[in-house]
Amino acid sequence: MTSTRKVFLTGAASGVAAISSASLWSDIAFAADTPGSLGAKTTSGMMDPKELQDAVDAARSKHNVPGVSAAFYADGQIVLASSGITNVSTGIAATQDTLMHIGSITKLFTTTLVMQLVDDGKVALDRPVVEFMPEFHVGDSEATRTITVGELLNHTSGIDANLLPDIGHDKETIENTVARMRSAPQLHAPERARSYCNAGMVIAGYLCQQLRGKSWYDLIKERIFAPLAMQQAVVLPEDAVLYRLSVGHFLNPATKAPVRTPLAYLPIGYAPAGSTAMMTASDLMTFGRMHMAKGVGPNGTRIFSEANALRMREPFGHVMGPQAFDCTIGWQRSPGGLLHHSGGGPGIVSMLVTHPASQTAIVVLTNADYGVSVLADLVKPFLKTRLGLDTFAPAPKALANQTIDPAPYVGIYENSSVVHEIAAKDGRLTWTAYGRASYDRGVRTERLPTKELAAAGDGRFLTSDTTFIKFVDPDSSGKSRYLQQDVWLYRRT
Amino acid sequence: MTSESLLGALEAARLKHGVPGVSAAFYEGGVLRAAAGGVANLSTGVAMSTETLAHIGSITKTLNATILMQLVDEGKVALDRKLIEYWPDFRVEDDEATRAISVEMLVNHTSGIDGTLLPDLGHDEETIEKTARRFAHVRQVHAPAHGRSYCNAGTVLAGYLAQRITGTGWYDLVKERIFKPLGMEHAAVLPEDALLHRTSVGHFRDGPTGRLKRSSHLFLPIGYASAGSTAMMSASALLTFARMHLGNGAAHNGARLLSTESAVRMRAPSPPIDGPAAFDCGIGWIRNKAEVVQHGGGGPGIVSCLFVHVPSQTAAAVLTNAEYGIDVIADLINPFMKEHAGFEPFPLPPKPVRVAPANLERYVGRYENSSDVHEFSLVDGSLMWSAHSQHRFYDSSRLDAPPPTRLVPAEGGVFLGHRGHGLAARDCAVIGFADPDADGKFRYAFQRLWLYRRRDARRTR
Repeated sequence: MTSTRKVFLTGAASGVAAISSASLWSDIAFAADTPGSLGAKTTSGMMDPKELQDAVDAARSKHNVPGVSAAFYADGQIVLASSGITNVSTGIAATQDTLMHIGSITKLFTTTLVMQLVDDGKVALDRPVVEFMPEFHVGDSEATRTITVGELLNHTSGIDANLLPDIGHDKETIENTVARMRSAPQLHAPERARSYCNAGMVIAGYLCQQLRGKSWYDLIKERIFAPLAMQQAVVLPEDAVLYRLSVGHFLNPATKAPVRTPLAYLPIGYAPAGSTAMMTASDLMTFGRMHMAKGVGPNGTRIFSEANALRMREPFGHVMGPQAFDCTIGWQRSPGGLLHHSGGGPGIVSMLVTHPASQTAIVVLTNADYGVSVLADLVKPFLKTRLGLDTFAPAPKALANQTIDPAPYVGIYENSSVVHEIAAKDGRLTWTAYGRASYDRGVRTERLPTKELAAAGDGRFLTSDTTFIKFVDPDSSGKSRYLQQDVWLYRRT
Repeated sequence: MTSESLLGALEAARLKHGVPGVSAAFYEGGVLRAAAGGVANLSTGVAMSTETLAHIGSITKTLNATILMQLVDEGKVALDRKLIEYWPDFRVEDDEATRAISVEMLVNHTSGIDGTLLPDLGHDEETIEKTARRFAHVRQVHAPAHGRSYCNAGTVLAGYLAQRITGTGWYDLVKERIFKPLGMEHAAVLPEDALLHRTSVGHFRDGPTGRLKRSSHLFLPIGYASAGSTAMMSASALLTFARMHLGNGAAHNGARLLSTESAVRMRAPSPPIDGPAAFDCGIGWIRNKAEVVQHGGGGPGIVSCLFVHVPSQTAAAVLTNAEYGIDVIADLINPFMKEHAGFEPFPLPPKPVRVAPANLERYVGRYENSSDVHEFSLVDGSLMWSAHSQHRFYDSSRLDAPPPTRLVPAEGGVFLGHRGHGLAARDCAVIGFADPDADGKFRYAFQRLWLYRRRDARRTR
């Protein structure tokens, strides 16, 4: 994974990519297969402890990731493995007891809390948020009136406040973050499109706080961790420090060595969207199994109703949005009945994949922002050999004829986090991108070098050998209203 | 002292007292020596190293006072001005106290605000500003400048004042004004920063089984950060800070953090008070004999200390991760300070005396502050004592009054009470009484640094 896109993700817009990281699914698709190390050895699956340990060790060392923890579940059996170290600055070993960031997988926890409110008749997914929380307010008054509870959870609210700049510990509260969204613009009208939306999930977490009269942190502890007996799972940094824990790493481009992140978390006010949660792979698997069992934990405790567990999995009507990003209430979907979520943070990537039909699930947690290669090595062969699923679409190819009319595409496309400038030069498109704010302290927000784009047809242009942007939704003059990249839409301004 | 002898003494003390982990640093003759032993956390088994961040607890108050004095140096605040001049919304329950409390009273423990610790409201509510505002409903232990009782509330307010005046969060003030200029790499005031490092957590001895258990929580309420709930660092980093004070504001690396005048003023005695005093202090320092200034720190299952002796240019820091770590601290600090300052800062408790004071009824009553309650009663002519907490801040806190135990009269008019380790142990309770009213009944009991007011005592001033 040395693509330009990866440079972009770890550069200008790292923070944005990090908390979202829904893009990991497509990243996995593009990660090279690794037949030499794994493909041949894993035909029996990875449900043998030694085999999983070998696979995790091999993937970790091959990709120079400091630490990995994994849990595989199939045929009613769970297999765990961990490898490497928690932190290159301390050298402490990563164990199966080590708490690691789960990032945006937290969104499934927040969604579960909302579905408990649905169970209790305190909210309805198809009703406007203002009905349950009259103080709810975003920049657009129409959107304020119409955004529904369900739209907060399925990334169709259109609220454009992906990650606001960190305002410091005492100010970074969930309540203050929601208050700061009172002036957030709309990326699109509610329900009309789909673009990965941290803001909706923070507001959903706040809704739970307001209706339950308890903090989101306590709700997660009392309504999910405790009843599922997840004893190595935390949502607060002051709880995390009690445990063996992992922190993120970036690759120093000069030395090719992993460097510990200077920052443990993205802004803490985004906790319900996934900035603070950490747990063992084993505990995350407990949560995943609860969902596969339609709301009942492995310990027999029902967390929420079967009806609402099933409702979370249902697809909704097609709206404009990135093709690789098909989501339900809280979950992301892939063909073959896969429901999954990935997570990021400063220098971490993680993934939970479930296949309810076969009661099979995978958790992989890594402490490097380039850990996606480890995910690919572990997830792809398992899905293929175990479930016969090969759901990763290949990358588009550049067209032979690169003659295009740039007019429909040229312009500035942006959301609250990232700006893309598309220009024309000698009949080709050029692309310049930059982030609006830095979340990783050392990360740059200056403009990246302008790059020439290769046309791949259907409004798609390659930004590297394997990654692309796509122009969609032409207006009456034929000019695109939106640019799509990964799980995000960017609006032409 | 050599590095080997330090490690030997540390391990001997640690093993003798059964403390999970200890980190210590000593500075003498221009040389800093550090050692660490044991484990940082019994649940993980990870070793305590000289780079492990351990709680410093209330030693934070010295850092907090240093920031305040930097603002004095910059002319942004004056110690003798009233707090309400800088923060017009400042309120405590007592209107007169609201008007009378000066900036200096916040850091020399004479404000009398009874807000030792308020119940934890949870992460997002536990901010320094919100804590400062909660004191609006807090009463006085004593009138401002008419007593001295260890006062967390004052130092929270001093931290809030600093962030209010500078427009910068207190956490960033500590990082930018202390950690960064001193190059303190292994130091954190925020849990999310701490988790980037090796970290230590506290331990308690489980009552019934006597087994050591990791504390269920890392910090006292985070809104008390500027009083010392969140700061963690290595013993070496803490001595880097102490050396700046040995240098009267000039650090080892040449950085000047304080004017000489302010550094000296911090160690000087506070203005005399008209009332009972539980201890002697300067600004952000507890004053001991022979020009030794010090601060101790506590937290959930931790005890720590810092000693500074400017005349001999020596300093020592010992950080432990057990609630009874004071015994290790005493074993390490006593010989060091005896050598350099001529006395042992941790003496054994005063000797029992055979004859109890007359009129023991004078002591009877319920004495309390916002955190703790001490009840004294007479049974068969003996003074009995029972103490409990108002809130559960520690795994070892008990909210119900235990059966009373007999107090033993001791030299100096004080009483000794068992706290489970025997009367000869350094953590046996030494209880005194002060400020008799017209009937001869005492208005205050004191233990260690705290005054406790008799419940039915009329306000004296």
